[in-house]
Amino acid sequence: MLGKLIKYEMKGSFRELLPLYAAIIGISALIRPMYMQNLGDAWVGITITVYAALLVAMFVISFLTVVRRFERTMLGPEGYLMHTLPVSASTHILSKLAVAFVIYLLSIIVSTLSFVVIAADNQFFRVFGEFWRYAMEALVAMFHQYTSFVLFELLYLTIFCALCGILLLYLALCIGHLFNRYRSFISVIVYVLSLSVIGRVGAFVSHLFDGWGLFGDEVIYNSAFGFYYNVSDLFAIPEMITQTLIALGLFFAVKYILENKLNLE
Amino acid sequence: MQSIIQCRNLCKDYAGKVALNNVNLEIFSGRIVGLLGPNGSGKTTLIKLANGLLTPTSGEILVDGKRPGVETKSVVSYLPDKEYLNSWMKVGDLVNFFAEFYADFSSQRALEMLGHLNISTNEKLKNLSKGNKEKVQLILVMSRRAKVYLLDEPIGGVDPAARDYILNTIIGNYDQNAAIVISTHLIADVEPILDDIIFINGGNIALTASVDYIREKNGKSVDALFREVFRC
Repeated sequence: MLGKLIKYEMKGSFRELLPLYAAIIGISALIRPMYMQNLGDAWVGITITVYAALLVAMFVISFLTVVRRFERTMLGPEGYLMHTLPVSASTHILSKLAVAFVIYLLSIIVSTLSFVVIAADNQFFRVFGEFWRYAMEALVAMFHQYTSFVLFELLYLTIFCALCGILLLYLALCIGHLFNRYRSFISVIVYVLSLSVIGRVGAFVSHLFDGWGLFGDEVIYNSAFGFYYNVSDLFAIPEMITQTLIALGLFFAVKYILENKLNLE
Repeated sequence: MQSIIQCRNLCKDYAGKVALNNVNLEIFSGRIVGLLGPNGSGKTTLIKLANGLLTPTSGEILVDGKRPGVETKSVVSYLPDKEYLNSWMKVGDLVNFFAEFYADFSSQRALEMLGHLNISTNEKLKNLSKGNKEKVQLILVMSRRAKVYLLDEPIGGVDPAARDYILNTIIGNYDQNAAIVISTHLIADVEPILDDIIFINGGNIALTASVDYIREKNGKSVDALFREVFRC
């Protein structure tokens, strides 16, 4: 059922976003030839302004799509269809979460790709290749044999941070739905306050385990910046566990409301 | 007869306003039941509770012996009193959607009924007339082999000719062992097809009886009795 839900969620979500992606890539492909052919600063300026506006629109619409899809299909008119399917609340949430994550990811990919399309020439790729090589060398000089693990930690925390952000949106919408009036206002307040609380919890946990040397007291030399440090400082495992627990807590809170407090009036 | 829906001391409030008040009733398989009452009497609330779209304030409602959940949703076919399908989808996509999610859905039957009405599967739902949208919704709901059909105001917003089509579609397509609950205030139109009636008013069950019993005991039609019970 999850795969089927994701398929229909994709169809519902990308109807507005796909044309926007195409427009951004299309207009970014125009900017470089216009600049090369000296069509005039005014034309290039207008095109870059349109490109920038489309980029902003893409990020705003991506965020709104994530909010609207959950609100409409779980708490609004389309909920009559979705909540009468023989599908569990967990499956509904997972399908929306997966597609929302893909929306965020595609926004980053499309904006990066459009920048590459504008800037790409032989020199760009040569400079980028050199930058990448130096960056990798610097990482290895800093983290030695732990480089892969540090990169994994960064990826894990980035993904879970995004998932927590999406689940927090869902929870704020669900809590707003529990009230009869001012639902949107309450959702916004809940979202902002919860964001602040989760940020503080993360910072507290990070601070709590500072200097505990939980993962040994091996010291290595950072040859990129020229200092020694404890390997334990590389391990963000307490932060990863915290992020995972927060994501699970948010997930089960949304599930609880959808299963036990749903009121499609 | 097997009880397919049971309500035990079922109550539902909306912000302190009582929508259902201590409802106790049973609906049996193989019966066509009219859930009859004036607007705002609690008909839609009762049907939504059976579908798990609302949470009871107290008491419980059981469908096929279970609280509303994944298992009950696979045996309940529900027609809401509003347009609830994705209007941007084509009719054919909606048929595929139902076929993918409901194991008891017959695409063949749905396509046959759509064909009779000359509704193209390539047409987007939003391009159809209001009447045809309602017919598409009904066709999808009645193309399932469900244990319970919960039809909320299926003839509420359509002309008399369309009402006949809708009632014939209901009668012609349901499983004889299933229960059908039709919520409406248009009694005269549905009376000929009903086995049992539930009168509901102000969130209270005013009467449950078979149509035959009402005719024998009261010597009047359900429509006449309804007008008498709910006289303003």
